[in-house]
Amino acid sequence: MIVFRDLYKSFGTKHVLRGINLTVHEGETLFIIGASGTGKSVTIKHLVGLLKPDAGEIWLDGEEITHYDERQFMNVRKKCSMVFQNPALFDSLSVGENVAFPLRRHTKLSDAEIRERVGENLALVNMAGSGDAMPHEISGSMAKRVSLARSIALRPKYLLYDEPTTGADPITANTLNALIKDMARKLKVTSIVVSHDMESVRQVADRVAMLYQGNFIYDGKPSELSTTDNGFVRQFVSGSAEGPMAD
Amino acid sequence: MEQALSRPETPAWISRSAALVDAFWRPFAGFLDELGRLLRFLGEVLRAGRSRHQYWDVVRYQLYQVGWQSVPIAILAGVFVGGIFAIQIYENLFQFGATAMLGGISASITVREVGPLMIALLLGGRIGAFTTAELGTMNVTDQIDAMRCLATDPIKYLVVPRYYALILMSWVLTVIGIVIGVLGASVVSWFICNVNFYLFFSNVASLVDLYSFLSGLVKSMCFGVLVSTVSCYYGFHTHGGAEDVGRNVNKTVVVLGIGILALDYVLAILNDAIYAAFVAAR
Amino acid sequence: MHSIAAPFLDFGRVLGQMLRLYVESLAYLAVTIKEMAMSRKRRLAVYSSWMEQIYWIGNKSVSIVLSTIAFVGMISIVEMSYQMNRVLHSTDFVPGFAALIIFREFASVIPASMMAGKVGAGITAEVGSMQITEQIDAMRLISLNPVKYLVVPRFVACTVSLVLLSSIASLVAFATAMAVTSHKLGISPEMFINTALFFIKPEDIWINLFKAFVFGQIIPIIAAHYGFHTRGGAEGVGLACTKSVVYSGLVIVILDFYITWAATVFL
Repeated sequence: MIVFRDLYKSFGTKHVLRGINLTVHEGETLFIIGASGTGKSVTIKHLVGLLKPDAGEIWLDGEEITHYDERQFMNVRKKCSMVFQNPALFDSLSVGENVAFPLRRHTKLSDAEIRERVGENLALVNMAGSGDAMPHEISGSMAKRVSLARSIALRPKYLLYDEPTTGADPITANTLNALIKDMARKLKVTSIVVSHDMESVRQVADRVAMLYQGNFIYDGKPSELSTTDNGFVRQFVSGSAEGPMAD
Repeated sequence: MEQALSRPETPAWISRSAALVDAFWRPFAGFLDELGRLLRFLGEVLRAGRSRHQYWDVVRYQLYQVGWQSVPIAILAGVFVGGIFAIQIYENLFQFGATAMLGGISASITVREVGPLMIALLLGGRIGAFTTAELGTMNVTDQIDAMRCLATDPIKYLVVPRYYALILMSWVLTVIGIVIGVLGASVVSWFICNVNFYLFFSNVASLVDLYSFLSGLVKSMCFGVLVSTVSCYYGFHTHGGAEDVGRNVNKTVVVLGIGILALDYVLAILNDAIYAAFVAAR
Repeated sequence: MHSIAAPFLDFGRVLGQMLRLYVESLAYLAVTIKEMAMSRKRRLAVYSSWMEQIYWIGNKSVSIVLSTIAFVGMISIVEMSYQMNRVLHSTDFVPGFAALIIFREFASVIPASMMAGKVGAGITAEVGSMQITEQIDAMRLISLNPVKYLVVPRFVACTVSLVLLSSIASLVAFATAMAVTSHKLGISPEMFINTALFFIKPEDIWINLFKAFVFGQIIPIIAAHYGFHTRGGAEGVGLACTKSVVYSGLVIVILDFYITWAATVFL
């Protein structure tokens, strides 16, 4: 279980997170939505130590990770893995070697076992057989899937997705949505997805939280998004340009 | 959190003179700042290098990629620079009739100064630019963050191996440059300056001692560390897009150009001091 | 051409292309000068484009050239005093030797290397980016010759800048060398200047300027050549810049040798 308590984060004069509170329960798929620049990615980056909060607490599985240093985060990262918006595959390594990377660094498996695991992981993301290709030879959506395969190599408990479907065509987006659901089901991971794609929310989310001006103004079931009392939420969900949201 | 304190107005003359000092101090402060950050980066690298596990496969990859392709350049440069200094020093010595010393002095200068410096300038700049571009591109495409998320320290995996590879490379390339340089100088001396081989090399033996050779090697190792530190630091700290990568490559080249010569001067003075204190006293 | 060593293999072809670019640049320079003679407006336009380039190049190079050459002056003294002590057991002639090597070698080669690194890379990056975004082709289609409009101004600017910079550099190196000598060897500035002048002949200054003149022409030609032959997107531009810097550096060293040799034969 992950808990954010009264988290504050600013960048210079931009106060992005102003005391957010959020609990993520095991096994659920939580979507964090909000307009661009509201701090969605900032929130999840705290979980892997890419950012440090200005104030507040973060708890992961009963441990307080708020003030962990880089070395302590290394252990956290084996449990909690992040899939970047940019596929971020290592361009000097092949697809197979990319997926094998965490296995080589953190397990003592033999070469044959690693190859087997890599095959498994690639098959899970529907990229079986592409182990020898180089990152610049495959398409963007394929690269995103390989990036996911790499992130699940160590079977983490928590998976963070940073805007997985942003910039993808509808077919690719649906493939990715299905994959996210698949991962949650097959690998029993708890997923946090940062997105502003309402279609993904409808297809995949168990629960939705919306960030606006530094706080969560909605936290509940996706089905109640369009009928909630909160005018800001309804405006965002419907994609309407008119409404109480200041822009 | 509100800051409700009100502060008294500073007198105009204080704020104006402060601004003046600031204007002069800025470039130096910026330079010292940057130097501090580079040294801190070096500290992190040294700490990461202390752990028992190292990524030797990456070292091998770097050695092949960058070092192997530099060898022909080192050879060519060595020949011609050796020749240049042979002629120049001959001209100098000619006025004293001390041309017999040509072998020793030109070899000595090549081993101690020109060899490491030439390799550092010609190749260090190029290798540094290449490394900054490589690491910068990786940073901009989130590969370095992704690596940290996969619980691998990017400094240990990316930077430390480059240090090993670069230091080894600078030794090898410097030795090549020196040897070829001395050979080239001897050929030029014979054909152009009428100093025959025998005279040339016997003089080399008498004037070039182990200390000179070692100091040349230490110097090239220091250059290797400088090139690695500057190029990896700027590569790592590239934020923004592809143009930032280009800008940082430029910064690397400039800082390395000036840095190599500044370091050379510092090392030359240190070398002098150590020599005077320990070797000459015997 | 995906490795940096590839040009070695096509040495002859690349050399031919560069020589052709050089000859073309000179030809278009002549054409530009003739055009300038024809109308005043033309003269002003050309001068302003040349001045703009000189300003750009000068700005980019001055700080790095002067900083490096300052150190070179000091290093020469330290090294020369070591050598003189060992061989002649006296440091009286250090100013002379150092001054000689500064004027004949360092004052032209070091600024040239730095300029090749900064300005050369800059020219390759500029021309290379234009090449991959097809602006060069576009220029040809509207009958603007890229060599005349891109290369010639930079050619003139680099040559002029490097000659100027070399002259200033020799004085700066001289000055820092003087400072170090008086501090380290106790030779007063006056003694320094006297000894140095005893050794330096007018030919040495001419050699310095001539070398700067030659190097100043090579750098933009090599840089522009690799710029025009850039293939393959942003990575290609980077590769071209690297090639241009490395090969400019090498050619400078090689030509330096031949000029030094020629100087001993003819002077």
